[in-house]
This record gives sequence, structure tokens and C-alpha cells, in this order.
Amino acid sequence: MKKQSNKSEEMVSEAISDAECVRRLLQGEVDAFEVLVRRHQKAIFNLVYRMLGDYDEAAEVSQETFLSAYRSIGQFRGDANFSTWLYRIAINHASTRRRSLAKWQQRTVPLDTTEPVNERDLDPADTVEQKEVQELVQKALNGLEASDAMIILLKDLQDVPYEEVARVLDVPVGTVKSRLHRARKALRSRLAPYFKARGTRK
Amino acid sequence: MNCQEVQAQLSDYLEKALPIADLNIIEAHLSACAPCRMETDYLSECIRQVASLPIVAPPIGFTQRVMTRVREINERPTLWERWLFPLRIKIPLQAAAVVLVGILAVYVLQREPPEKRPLITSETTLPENQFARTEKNQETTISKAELQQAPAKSQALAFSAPAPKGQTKTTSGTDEKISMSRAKSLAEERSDSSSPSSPSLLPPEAKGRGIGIVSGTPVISSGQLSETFEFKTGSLRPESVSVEPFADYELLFRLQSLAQDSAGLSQKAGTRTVAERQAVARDLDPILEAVAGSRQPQTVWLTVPKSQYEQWKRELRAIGTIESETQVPLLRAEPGEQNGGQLQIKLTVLPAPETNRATPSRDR
Repeated sequence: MKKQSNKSEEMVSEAISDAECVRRLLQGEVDAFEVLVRRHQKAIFNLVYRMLGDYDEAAEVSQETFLSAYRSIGQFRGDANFSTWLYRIAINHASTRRRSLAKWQQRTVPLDTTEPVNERDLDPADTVEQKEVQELVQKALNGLEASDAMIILLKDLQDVPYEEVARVLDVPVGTVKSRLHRARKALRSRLAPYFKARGTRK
Repeated sequence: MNCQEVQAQLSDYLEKALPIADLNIIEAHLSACAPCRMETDYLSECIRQVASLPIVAPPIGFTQRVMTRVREINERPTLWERWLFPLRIKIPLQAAAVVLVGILAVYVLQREPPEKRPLITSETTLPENQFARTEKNQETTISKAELQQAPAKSQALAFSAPAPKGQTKTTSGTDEKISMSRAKSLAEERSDSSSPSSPSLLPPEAKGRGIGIVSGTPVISSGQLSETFEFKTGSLRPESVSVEPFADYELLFRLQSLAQDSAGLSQKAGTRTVAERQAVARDLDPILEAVAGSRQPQTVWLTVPKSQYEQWKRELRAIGTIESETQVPLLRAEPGEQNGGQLQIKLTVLPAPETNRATPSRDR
């Protein structure tokens, strides 16, 4: 039953492009925004979640992101992708929240308690070690500069093409590539202890 | 290609985003260079680990929550609408505010200080040197005590101040005299208008509650009556500065005749009244003596506390007859109510009759 309704919603979503939704929204059709939320919530939520390392904070910031988008939909220019524009809003919100969180504490990721549905099928035998690695990776991401973490997440987690990352950050593609490489090296430095341990174990 | 160059392009190499020739060069280097190979492995592992981070599902009901908030935003009126649209509530509120402002405006206007009104035009017409002389005379010679103890002297002094031309249309000699109280009022006005040369010239007692603080222009042109408008300080009201001051009661009062000789009478009346009367009506002495001395009627405006009005009349009857008492019907609901319990009295003092007949002063 639930699957069916999800299916129908997805069909509705598939049928209408982002641009069409925005057009309808601007004409006062508030329900069109719901299609946009359903379509982009997963990407936005996961980007924000990995930026912050906290599930509840991510839920809040994701909601703020969509509400900001709704309020300022009049400023959205049709020449950009809606997702690009939405990413930009999400990154701004997440960066702000990340700064304020960093002031409070050095955050750890309570993956075991807050991790909800894991949508990727993992080998059960491998799960414990996988979780440990994920925790390490999240900690390493938390320790990075926000801009470094964000560009890694866009490209390596979300698999956003270089061109769109360039539009989100409003910099040339070449700049994205060099920044990404620098960010990966920073992450590698933070994960070096893990690599060394794994190397000796192997 | 050295190690540094290779490592700078490792990202591109891993993503196969390089020309095939460059890829081959890097591969050749890596097969020969263990540190660069290890670095490549680490970097590759980083990318793989980030990519293999589990995709988490947003909280259940996320979309509904967002849409609920969105609809709240949508239904919340804008600032403009909040001001204009709930007419049922706003219009009565605004109307009430307008009424309130109106009432306040009337109240404030009524409390406007009297010096803003064209109260005494003679200040502009009175020559400055005469003014100065009047002030000087008073400053040096007049005090409240002197007024009571040496009434004749103060009387003469008061009458010595000449009235400006055009001040009055009457031709009688008495009308051309400026009264002492009037000079005092002018002096006070000058000190009120922050004239640096004139500190308050009034004796403190007179300032506090005395009569004769302000006098107006003589307006009665009968040739017989000289009018002196007198008020208590601070009791000046807008309605009292037009042609004639407002009065709650108009009294016609005739002096009791005591002696034939006018000069002696004046002196005797003065001492007697001071001795017999209470504080309430004592301030009238200069006027009573002026009437007794000149045998000309005079009218004064003064304020009497409502509670002391009967006592004040009894005291008057001790030295004369109240021939008539008229309550002026005006808009006031109750006499003295608006004036903090102060009654405005217009008192016309008539000289004693020529014949030495007894007046039924205590019968009334």
C-alpha cells in the first residue's frame, strides 16, 4: 500500500520537470513544491548529514533549506538547475550550522544510535568493520575545512558532475578540480592512521 | 615526470580524466615508484570510502513537515495585509485612537500657557523707559508688608505710573492711571519671558496667593468706572483674557461709610480691616482703600477657594454690603470645578454712600 503510493508519487514527480514545478509554484500552486521536496530531499539531506555528522541537526537544516528555497523561489533564475540552486542554499545553511556546532564541541558521529535505514546492502559479516570505517571517515570529514568537506561530498558522495559543482560554487571547472584534489589529500592525511593500521593488518 | 608532478595529477589519473599519453606516463612512473603507488592507493581508498558512505533516508514525514510549514508561510499575511485587511478589528481600533488623540489635543490646548496669548498688548505699547522706572520703583519700595501697613503710600505709587496713550478710550483722570497691580503684572510677565534684568519683582506672598497679580486693560468707557482686572497667579485662563475675564460670581459690594474725611477714612478702614479680617479677604485692602480714597467704583477679578467663599463673603460684610450676588451661568457644570476648587469672582467695589446712613451689612 505504502509502496504503491510512493510509486504513484514518483510517477507524478517523473512526469513534471523541476522547471515546470517552479513555474507552477510561481503561479501559486503550492503543491508543486511538494514534488520538488520529494525529489530532492534525499540528496539534500545526505549532503547536509555528512556535512554535520548529526542526524537531527541534518533534519533541521534540511528543512530550513527547503523553506528558504520556498521563500526565495522568486529569486530562482530559470537558467540554472533547480538542484544547483538548492545545493547552494543547503551548503550555506550547513556551513553556518557547522560553524556554530564546532563552537560547541568536537562532534562525534553517533552512527550506531541515529543511523536509520541503511539503503545499501552491506555484507552482514563486514558490517561491524564497515561501520567503524564509516565513523572514521565521518570524523575525518568533520575535521576538514567546510569547503573541503563540501566539495568531496558533492563529487565523491553525491557524484555531482564537475560542471554542476562549478555552478554550485560559482567557480571554473579547473578550480573545482584543483580544490577537490587538495581536499582529497587533506582527507587522506586524516585517514592515514587507518590506512597504516589496515596495511599492517593485511 | 617526477613524483611531485605525478602526485599533483593523481585525482585526474584516478578518474581517467587525462589524455591517454599522460595516463601511460603516470602508470609507468607508479610501477617504478613505491611511495607514489602507496599515495595513489590511499587516495583511491579515500574516494571509495566516501562514495561507500551509506545513503541515509530523511526522517519519516520530512516532506509533510516541510509542506506544513510552507502552507503556514503561505497563509500568513504579509505586513501590508496585516495592517490593512482585518478591517473589522482595525477600523474600530483606529477610530478609538483618533478620538483619543482628539481629546488629548483639546486637553493640551486648554493647558497651554497663557503667555502665548495676546494677553496684554500694553507691553508692546508701553515705552521701555517707563517700564523700567515702574519696575525700579517697585523693586526698591514695594513689599507685601508695605502694601498693608502703608496703603496710602503704595496707592500713590501705583497711580504714579502713567498709562500709555491709546490704552483706553476714556478721558477721566483716574482711567489714565495705571494701577499698581497692573505694573506688577507687567513686571512679572517680563520676568516670565526670561528677561535677564528682572528677577521676580513680586513679594513671595503676593506671588503665592495674592490678588492684583495681573490686571487688564480698562474697558469701561463710562468715565466713572476704572477697571482693574485682577487674578491670582497661575489662574489665568484663556477665556479670561478676552474683553472681560470669566467669573463664576459677580458681586456688587458697597463699602460701609465710616468717616467724612476721605484720607482719614482710608487710613482707618485700612487698619480696621487688617485687624478684623482673616487671610481670605485681606488682599482686597488696597482696592478697598483706593475706592474709599478716590470715591470711584472699581472692579477686580480675583479667585477665592470654593471652600472659603462663604467665609470670604462674611468678611466682606464686616466692612460693607453685598448689594448683589450673581452666579454667572456658563458652560461649567459646577462653579470652580475646572479651576481646582477656585472660584473666579468679579467684585465691583462701590464707594460708601455720601450720607452717613447705616448699611444693613449683617442682615444678608
